[in-house]
Amino acid sequence: MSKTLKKEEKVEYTGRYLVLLPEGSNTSDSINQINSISGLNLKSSLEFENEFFTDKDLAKTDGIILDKLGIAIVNEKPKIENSISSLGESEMIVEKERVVYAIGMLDESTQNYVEGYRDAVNQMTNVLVGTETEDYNYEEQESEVESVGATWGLKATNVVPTSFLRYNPYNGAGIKVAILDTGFDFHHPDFAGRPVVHQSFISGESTQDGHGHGTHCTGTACGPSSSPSATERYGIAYAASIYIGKVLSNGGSGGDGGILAGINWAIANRCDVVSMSLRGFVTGAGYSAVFETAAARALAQGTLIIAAAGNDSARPGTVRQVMHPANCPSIMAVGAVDVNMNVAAFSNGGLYPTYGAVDIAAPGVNVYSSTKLPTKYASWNGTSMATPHVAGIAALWAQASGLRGINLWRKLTSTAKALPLPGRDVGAGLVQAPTKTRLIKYPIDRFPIDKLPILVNPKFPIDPIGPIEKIIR
Amino acid sequence: MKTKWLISVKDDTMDLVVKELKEIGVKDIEALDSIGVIVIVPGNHKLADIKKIDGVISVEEERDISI
Repeated sequence: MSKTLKKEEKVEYTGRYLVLLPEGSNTSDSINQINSISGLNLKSSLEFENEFFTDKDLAKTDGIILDKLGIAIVNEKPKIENSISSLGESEMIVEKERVVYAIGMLDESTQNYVEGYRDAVNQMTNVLVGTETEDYNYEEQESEVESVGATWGLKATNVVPTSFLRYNPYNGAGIKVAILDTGFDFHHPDFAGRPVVHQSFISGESTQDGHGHGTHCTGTACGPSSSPSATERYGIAYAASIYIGKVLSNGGSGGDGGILAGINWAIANRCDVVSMSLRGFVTGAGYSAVFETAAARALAQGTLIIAAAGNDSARPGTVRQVMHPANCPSIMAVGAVDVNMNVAAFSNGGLYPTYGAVDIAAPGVNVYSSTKLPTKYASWNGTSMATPHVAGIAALWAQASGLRGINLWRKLTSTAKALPLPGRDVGAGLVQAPTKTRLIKYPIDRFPIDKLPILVNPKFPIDPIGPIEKIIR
Repeated sequence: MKTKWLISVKDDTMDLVVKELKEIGVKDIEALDSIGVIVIVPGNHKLADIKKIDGVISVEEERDISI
């Protein structure tokens, strides 16, 4: 048994306890309640600047209540042992805090074993289906993919795989995607004949996009697979049902009330994904309890809300926090990267440990997509452009996996491509579309059966007895 | 234009909260049933008065949003 397995089987504890407070209780009441029940002296995370505290801070107290999560971290001290048990009798769930290890850390012998297995499988694969260079003109196939043409963002996210051995059979069919933005240019030729459900939440303005921003975001999330006039493919979920909610005016501004009305409309229409390339500027700590409640209810009903982290940073000098409403824990916040997989200079970061995180990253620099006529196409920068990449790919995953809500969220983050960048800036990494491996069929007369290696394990010699003769009675 | 207020309410209390809001004289009420949020244009009401209503989770002033 390897060291890795032993580590997984034995649960280790830090010596601290996690106490889940009763639903709906507020921090100050809970502190009073816990202190009176247990005789402890707990602090609130609100007492620390930006609610950020270290292990040293924690060690100086009996414990700290995480205000936004309703969870207390309680230190293990001799006098506390009996106090902890009394909490369990008061509607509070008490757990020992576990030591967590990063997965994928293999010891040397396990790594050698896995690498040997990989090499054997690769050898067998080469014999059975041939290597890329041996039986296929790979350069020719690559150039064929290039000639179809797709934006760098669609290639980087595997919507259009650059390897001939992979392909993407998903198009968002059967999935409803809502884009809450400045509306949509219904005269754009790339969407001719495409049904679009729409509703304006801006008083005195129709859903027709007088700005261009909404048409750009819609193009990335749900634009066509091909176009006679676009220089390259820019749309991801080209068969998804488009729902346009105009929540920002033609001047590009709006209010919370319209955004909430748009989210409500999208859920009422059973939209699976909501894309919001918008933000309200925030300077202090905290996030909107109203939006968090709304987003949590949306997730519970199978609607995933995806929002832009914001473009308020000026890296490397200034990194601003994820803005409203993307800073709500139940809204997926999207950061932007460029073609070289660097964080975009403007992209906001997750500055707080318990909320306001960047959850995932997507292409957000020099993004080519549709915009309002007569311009028709434009390349723009922003987390606004990154967000519909995630929304479109969420639609592909929803189609491919059948997952919705929080499970769709987990699928997106668990399949994201890890980047060598701080999680603060890119979260789980670069969003990736679902793909399939191309099945390669050989003509039967070319099947190289004679070239298959004879697999002999030296520990199991060939049977010395030989074949047993059939006895005829 | 008067700033709107956003009110999140507990599950299954939407009708009760709307009724209470009407009783205290709030006229412009938009109930968003799918997300359990009510958007109102307050008259001369105080934020604290709204928070006191049974079923109300939180009350916030509307923020400006942009692209």
